[in-house]
Amino acid sequence: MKKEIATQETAVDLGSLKEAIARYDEKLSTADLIPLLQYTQDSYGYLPRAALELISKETRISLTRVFGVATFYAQFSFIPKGKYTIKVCDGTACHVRGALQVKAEIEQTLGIKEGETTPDLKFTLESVACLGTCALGPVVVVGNSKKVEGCCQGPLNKKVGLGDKFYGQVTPQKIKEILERYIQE
Amino acid sequence: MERLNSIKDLRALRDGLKREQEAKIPTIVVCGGTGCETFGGHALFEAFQDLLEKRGLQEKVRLKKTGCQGLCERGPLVTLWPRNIFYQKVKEQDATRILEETVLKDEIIQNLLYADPHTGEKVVYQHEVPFYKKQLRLVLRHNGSIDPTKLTDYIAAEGYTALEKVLTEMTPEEVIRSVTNSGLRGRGGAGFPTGKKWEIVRKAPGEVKYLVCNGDEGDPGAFMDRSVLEGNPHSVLEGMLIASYAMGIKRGFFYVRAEYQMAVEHVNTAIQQAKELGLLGKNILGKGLDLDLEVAKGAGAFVCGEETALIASIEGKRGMPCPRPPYPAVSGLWGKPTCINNVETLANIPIIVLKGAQWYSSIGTSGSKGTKIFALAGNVRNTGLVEVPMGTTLREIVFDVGGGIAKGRKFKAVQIGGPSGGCIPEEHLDTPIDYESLQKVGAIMGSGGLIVMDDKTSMVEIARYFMSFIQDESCGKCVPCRIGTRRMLEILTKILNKEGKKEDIELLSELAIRTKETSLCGLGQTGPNPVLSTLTYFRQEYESALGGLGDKNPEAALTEEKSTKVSSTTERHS
Repeated sequence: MKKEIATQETAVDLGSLKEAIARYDEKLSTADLIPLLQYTQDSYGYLPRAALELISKETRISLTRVFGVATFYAQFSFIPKGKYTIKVCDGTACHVRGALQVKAEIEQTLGIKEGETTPDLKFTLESVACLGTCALGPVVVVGNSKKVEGCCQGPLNKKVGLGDKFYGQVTPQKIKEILERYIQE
Repeated sequence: MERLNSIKDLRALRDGLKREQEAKIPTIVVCGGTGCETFGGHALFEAFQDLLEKRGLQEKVRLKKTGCQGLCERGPLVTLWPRNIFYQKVKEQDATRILEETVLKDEIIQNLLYADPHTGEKVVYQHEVPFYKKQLRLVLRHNGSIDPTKLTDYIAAEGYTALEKVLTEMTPEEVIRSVTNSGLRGRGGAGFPTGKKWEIVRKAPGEVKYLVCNGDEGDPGAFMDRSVLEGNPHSVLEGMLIASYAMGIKRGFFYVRAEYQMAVEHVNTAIQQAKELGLLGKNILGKGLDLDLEVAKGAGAFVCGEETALIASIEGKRGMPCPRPPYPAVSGLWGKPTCINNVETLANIPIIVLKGAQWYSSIGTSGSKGTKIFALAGNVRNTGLVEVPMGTTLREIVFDVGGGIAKGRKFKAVQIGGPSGGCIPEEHLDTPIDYESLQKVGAIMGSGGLIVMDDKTSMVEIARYFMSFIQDESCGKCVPCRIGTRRMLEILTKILNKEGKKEDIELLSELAIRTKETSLCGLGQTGPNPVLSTLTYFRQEYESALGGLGDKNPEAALTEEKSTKVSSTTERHS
């Protein structure tokens, strides 16, 4: 899997991540790496380099290894994502029901290709292998790229906002109308 | 709620809850599965909530939201207790009518009933809908009746009675013997006998052992585990408690895909509630059983469903598999003996304990016992979640439960087992579903995705689709999988672009066999199956797609719709 890594970056406020790390009672171990990366991804919508450096320092895992892990998993991104992440499911069931035509329509409407973000940082288009809602195929999910709600049990066990909006049995015509609503916003 | 310190406490709580339920208060049950929610189920639920509040009926009429009830295609679904009246495709604006006419006056609203697609006959009760009739819902038995976010609902439905039985009447050895005798095999796909795995872990030396529930359901086209975790997380938790008792394990992990937000949330809630009630933690029910559970969220890598890769992922490393042996049962998480069981496997455990091994093994075929949940999807009329006894034929699932092919088209193939499985044509539709029979026809049980394809589907394109998935998800550790899958993808793309030669088919077939034989883990060992099975059953489609040879298949609409050439280098960025 290829991952784009930004060479230049704007400064980010690492306050939220620092607070999260401070909530740990015990010393950080390697098993905490992926949860921390997930927290960072959810809070910032991507993994800022400065955050990775902080995580590396706090977990005492070399930055190379942190990058190694982060590049392996599909969930992580190194460039900022749009406000909304549009995920087009291309699982088998959606595929045989015409997911590709839906994706083509989105690409045309937004003027971006899969994996890209619109210049105004409003939309990112992604394709996923399966969302597990095969009965509704083709499925498109529109979700906020940043999702953090109040914290509860455990240091990172925050309540994840169920903010993702699922759209089922989507057709090219239908997706156009859905997108229009988000564009108008 | 107060902590339960003994089995007596648990029984007292259950009796109280059951008495409350015996009152037979009319209940409106709204399906809260992701399918129904997408079609407006949540708005419907809120509409009922408002309505009951406005009319001051909260005491007289109950409202409940359950997990996935199965018939996702017809969502949102509403069932009305105690008569079990079944309404489908219910809209928000139907709420008032349902309350006024059906709940208060006991009148049935005809246009919300399910109509048999063949006869047009209306069906009033849920259990009479043909989709449910042929099923045997054991693991899913409570999915349509309990609120998954309420531990009390599960307890009232005889939940945690299996744990009670194990703690009071059975030794760990007896539990393992019972699981072994039941014939239960791993539901994640490989079908390893569960009792045997438990025995190995129990006998493995060392104090520290781990238990992992594998909910990394990555196969495209599979949503069984998701529905169990969303709809009845406590049944899995109870299975884990019994497993920990049997093997002497004190710490466990719930590994769930991060994409499954609702499942993660429901599992977290379940763990929290169980902790508060003393069903997790130290000295559970005063019987000296200790178990701590935590959730580990998968970060989006298909290969992490493979057990050694899953272990690497929990340890905070790149999710790459390791050669086995040593098997995780001997040396797993942090080098300790680790029992990894699939969600559905664990959900079967309480049933086996309660009903007995003999009863359980009377269901199914000689080599495959019990039931299996399938996610039925694709070009079929009734898409949704299906649980049938092992040995049911594919034809029964597709045509009786599934209602046949959608939009009046013809059946072409059914894909079973996801990217590790195969495409089965009409002539093998009478194959009974069990681990061995499916292997004989070139597929595998897999985790349970069943995708029906109609005559519009191009099989070469489907083979390419799966290969591009496998190629994208190959972790790159071993050469056969890393390079073999890429070369196969290139050949398939070439054939689809009408540039293929006759030798390419031979080369493809040979590459598929070699990759299968030499790859390190299950991903590469089974990844070529879709290619091999389509080559076996639909070879003429490959041949007619070759450049300069014959006409292209006019029915292969999917291929034709792509006016531009397919490129093998287009990767999924996700």
